[in-house]
Amino acid sequence: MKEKILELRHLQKHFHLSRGRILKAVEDIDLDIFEGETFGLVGESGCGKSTLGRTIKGIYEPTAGQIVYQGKDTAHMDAQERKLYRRDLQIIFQDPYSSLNPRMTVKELIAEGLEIHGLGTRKEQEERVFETLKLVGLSPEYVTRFAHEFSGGQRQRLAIARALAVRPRFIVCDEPISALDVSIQGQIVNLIKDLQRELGLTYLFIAHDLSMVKYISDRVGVMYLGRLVEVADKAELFANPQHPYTQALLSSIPIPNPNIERERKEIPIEGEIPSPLERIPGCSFKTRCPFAVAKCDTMAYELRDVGNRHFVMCTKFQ
Amino acid sequence: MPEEKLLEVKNLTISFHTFAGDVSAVRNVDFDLRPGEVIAIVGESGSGKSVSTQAILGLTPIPPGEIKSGEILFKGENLLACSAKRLSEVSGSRISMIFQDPMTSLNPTMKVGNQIREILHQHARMTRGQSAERAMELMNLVGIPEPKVRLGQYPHEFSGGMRQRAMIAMAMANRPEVLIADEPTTALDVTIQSQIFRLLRELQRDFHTAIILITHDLGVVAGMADRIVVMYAGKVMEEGTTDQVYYRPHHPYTAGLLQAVPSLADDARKKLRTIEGTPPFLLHVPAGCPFAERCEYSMRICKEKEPPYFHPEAGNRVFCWLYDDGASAQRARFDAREVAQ
Repeated sequence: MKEKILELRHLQKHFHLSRGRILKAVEDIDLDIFEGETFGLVGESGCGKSTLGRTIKGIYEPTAGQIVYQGKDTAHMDAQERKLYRRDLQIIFQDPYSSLNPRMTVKELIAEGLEIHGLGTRKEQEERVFETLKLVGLSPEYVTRFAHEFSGGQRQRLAIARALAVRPRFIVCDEPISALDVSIQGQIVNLIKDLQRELGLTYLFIAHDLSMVKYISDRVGVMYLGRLVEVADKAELFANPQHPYTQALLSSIPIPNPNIERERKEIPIEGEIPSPLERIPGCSFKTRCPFAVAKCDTMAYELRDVGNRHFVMCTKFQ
Repeated sequence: MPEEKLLEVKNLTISFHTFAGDVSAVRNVDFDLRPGEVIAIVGESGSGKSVSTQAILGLTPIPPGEIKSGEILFKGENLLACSAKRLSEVSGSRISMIFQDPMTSLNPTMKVGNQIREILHQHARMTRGQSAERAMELMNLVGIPEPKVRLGQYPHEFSGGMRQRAMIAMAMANRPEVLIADEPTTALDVTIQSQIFRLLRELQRDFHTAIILITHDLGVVAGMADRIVVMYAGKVMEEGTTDQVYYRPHHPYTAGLLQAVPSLADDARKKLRTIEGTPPFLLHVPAGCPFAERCEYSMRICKEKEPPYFHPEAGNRVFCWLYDDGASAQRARFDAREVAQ
C-alpha cells in the first residue's frame, strides 16, 4: 500500500449568503488520497466538487474539518510549512482563457510561482521556464508571447506548465479538458498521464465526463450535494456501482456505438439536483431515487465498506 | 431520391469580414433533410456547423458576415432570396431553433408563459384564452411539472434543464416541420442531457418533426441520428448513415474523432489515440484538404488540390483523396489501421 499523501477529515465548506442563508457546498468529506494515484471526482454541477478542490488548494478556508498533508494538519502549520504546502500542491483550472493573465508573457506566467517561492536565481528560473515548456510539449521560443496568441489546447499546456514549474507533488485538475475540443482533449489527457509517470505526481482529477474519468483514474469518488456517496477502485465502481445515483449516472452516459446505444437501458432519474440551500433530513438523493424508502429519512451519513475497497453511503447497506 | 426533400442546403459559402481579412467560415456546404428525419452535424469549434445552420433562419450577422453563394431551399423555396417578411413567417413556425444556452435565448424580463404566448400570437390568430390553454398544453408536452405555476415564473427561476424544456416548448409551439437544435445539451449535466434527448426523440416520433442536431461530440448522437454530416474547417468531410459513420468511417478525420474519445470499455493502459496539431486558421484557407496538415495518411496532392466528393458506398460521400484510384496503396494503409473496440 502506498503512503497517504492527503487526508480529508470531516471537511466542510459553507458559504454565507445574504439574508442569513447558508450555501452548504461541501459537507463532511472524509477521504484519503495516496501518493502517486489519480483520484477521479465526479458529480453534476452544483455537487461541490470544484469547491472541494479549491478548499484543498487553500483558495477557500474550510468551515470545519481538517486537511492533513503528509501527516501534518494544514491548520497547524507554521508559515514556512504552509508555504511549502502551497508549493507542493498546485491547481489547473477548467478554462484556460480566464485562468491566464492576458498581460503577462509566457515567461512571466510560468516564472511567477518560482519568484513567489524564491526558487533559484534569475538565470536558473529562466532555465526552469524553458525546461517546463519542453515538458508540456511547447517550444521554448514562445517565452515572449502572450496567452491570447495560443489556441485552447496550447493554453491548457501553459496552465499545466505554470503548475509544474515549482515541482509540485500534488495537482488538483479541475475539469482541465471540458473547455477543449474533442480532438484536443486526448492530447491533454495523454500529457497529464505522461507527466504523472515521469514525475510521480498525485492527481485529484475533477470532471463530469465519466468516460474520461474512467480512463484516467485509479479510484473514483461520486459526489452528490456536498457529500461523497460512493468511493471505489475504478474498475469496481464502473463494473459494480452500488449507489442508485451512481447507477443512474453511469446508465445515462451515451455510448458512441449505434447498436449498443439503441439498446442502452437507462435507469431514469426524474427531476434535477435540488437547491443546496435547503437541506432535507436524511439522504439528499431520496427525492429523485427510484428505490427510496421510509428509512432514507434517517440515513446515517456514513460511507459503509461493502467489500473490495468499495464504500457506499446508502440505507441499502445500513 | 424517392422521398421529397424538406430542406436542402446547396453550395453554401459564408465569409466574415474582419480587420485581419476575410474568414471563410463555411465553404461550398451541401446537405439535406427529409421529412421526419434526424440528422446530426458534427464538428469542433470553428468547423462551420453553427454558421451554416444559422443561415437557414437568416440569423447570419450581416455585416460582418456575407453569404457569398448558395441556396437554402425549404420545400423548394429559396430562403436566401425570399423577403424578410416571408422569412419571419417561416422561421419560428415552420422551422424553429433551440440553442446551447437557454438563459441567453430567453428574455429575462418576461414571464415564461408570456414568451410562449408571444410566439403563438405572432404566427396564428388566437384569443388570449386559446393561447393560455395552448401554453399549458406545451408545458405538459415537454414535461415541465406544475405548468400553471411555471408559466407565471421568470427564466431565472428555472433550472438549466427546465429552461431548455421551456425553449423546446417555444420551438414546438407552432408544430414546426424542422427543429434545429444547436448543442442543446452541452451546458447540461449527463442525467439532464439524457432527459432532453429522450424528449427530443419523443417529439420527433409523435409529431414527425425533422431534427437537425448540431454537436461537437460524436458520442451523444449514436442513438438519435439517422444520418451524420461531419464538418471540419468549413467543409463537409463526410456524410453517411449513422451506422456507416460509426462502424465504417471513410474519412481519416472521422476515424480520428471516433478514436479520440475513450469508450467506457477502453483499456486505460493504452494511450489515447489523438489527432495531433490544431485546426487551420480560416483567414488563410489551405489550398488542398484542410485536414491534410494533421492527417496520418496525407499525400502530396492533399496539400495541393481539394479533393472532389467520392462515394465509397451508397448513401455516403467523403471529401478525401484516398478514394481516388491513384491512391490505392495509401488507402490500403488506412483500411488496415488498428481500430479500437
